Amino acid sequence: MSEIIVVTSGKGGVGKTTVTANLGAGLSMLGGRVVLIDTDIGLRNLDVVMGLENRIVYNLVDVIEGNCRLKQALIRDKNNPSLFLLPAAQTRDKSAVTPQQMKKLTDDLQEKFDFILLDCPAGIEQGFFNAIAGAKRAIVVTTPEVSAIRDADRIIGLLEANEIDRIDLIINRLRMGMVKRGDMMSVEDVVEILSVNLLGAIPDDDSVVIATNQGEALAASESLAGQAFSNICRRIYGEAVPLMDFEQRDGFWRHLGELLKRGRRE
Amino acid sequence: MKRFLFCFPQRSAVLARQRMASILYMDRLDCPEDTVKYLKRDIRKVIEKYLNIENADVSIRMDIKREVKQGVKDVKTIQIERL
Repeated sequence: MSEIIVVTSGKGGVGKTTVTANLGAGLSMLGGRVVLIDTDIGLRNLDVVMGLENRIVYNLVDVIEGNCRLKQALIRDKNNPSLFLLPAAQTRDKSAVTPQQMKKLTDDLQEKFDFILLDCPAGIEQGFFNAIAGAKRAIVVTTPEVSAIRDADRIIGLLEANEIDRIDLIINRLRMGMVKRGDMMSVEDVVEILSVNLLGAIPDDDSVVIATNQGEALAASESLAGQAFSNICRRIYGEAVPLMDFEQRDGFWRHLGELLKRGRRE
Repeated sequence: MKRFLFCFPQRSAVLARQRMASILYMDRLDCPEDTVKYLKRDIRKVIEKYLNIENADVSIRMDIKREVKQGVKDVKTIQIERL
């Protein structure tokens, strides 16, 4: 039986799509058959983050309206043969599908995939309810900032009200230097405020932007963020992986280290 | 003492945590911050009426639980913990 997981946040721009893409890549690298569904109809981005924007022929709305078969709309990832993308439509809006249709879609996909990850749009309108319709589990993504945490709290309430009991938290864009200086809330602060299980934390890392620019996944790369994604995927598989120690030298020495690494790679 | 404290302003993360507590109470209870303050004050008065406690020993912390029991929908439950 496959795991159907919605990746949501409430607030926009905290990293849902990046998290979805990298979890998908990581889970497939660990041997799972994974499909990612972009439910952000009208503002799709999962295809861009995965570097598959030129391979879209059919999309989610085409499948639901019966314009194509499901298999025709699924796009295989460039680097991971067991990872697929079902892109959103770009020229429609979120009223183009209903929660009941989304539920049927995820039911149809369950037989073929071990993991179905739904990239949820920001907000709490129709798009949110479409995305959670078939989900049995949720990953809430937040950053350690007041507005993001507030929205995450609201989303957690809505998820519980819609009978999604298994809710995990990913804290994104953590900056340990700021945490140590007392200018950013810590992982412990956020977990205490939201009172949900912590699945993992991802440091603020330039490599995330670089990977998105390149349309490549970061999971399992050498970067801190890549390792963090990899660890989260192992936890999803049930492995007990301790949280990474993100403490690293900040400022001049960190940048010097990164410059040297980049020079070696080139 | 106040002048001394002025030299060490509160770090923003501490402020953020304090604000989060207020913000979430207001959101979850759908009431203004003052109402939460008065709730805690009145709860403390009731406890002091029946138990021999010192003000400094007890602080009132309210967590809003969203557990739904069988046969009951949309219930907001306030649990009171003694720290």
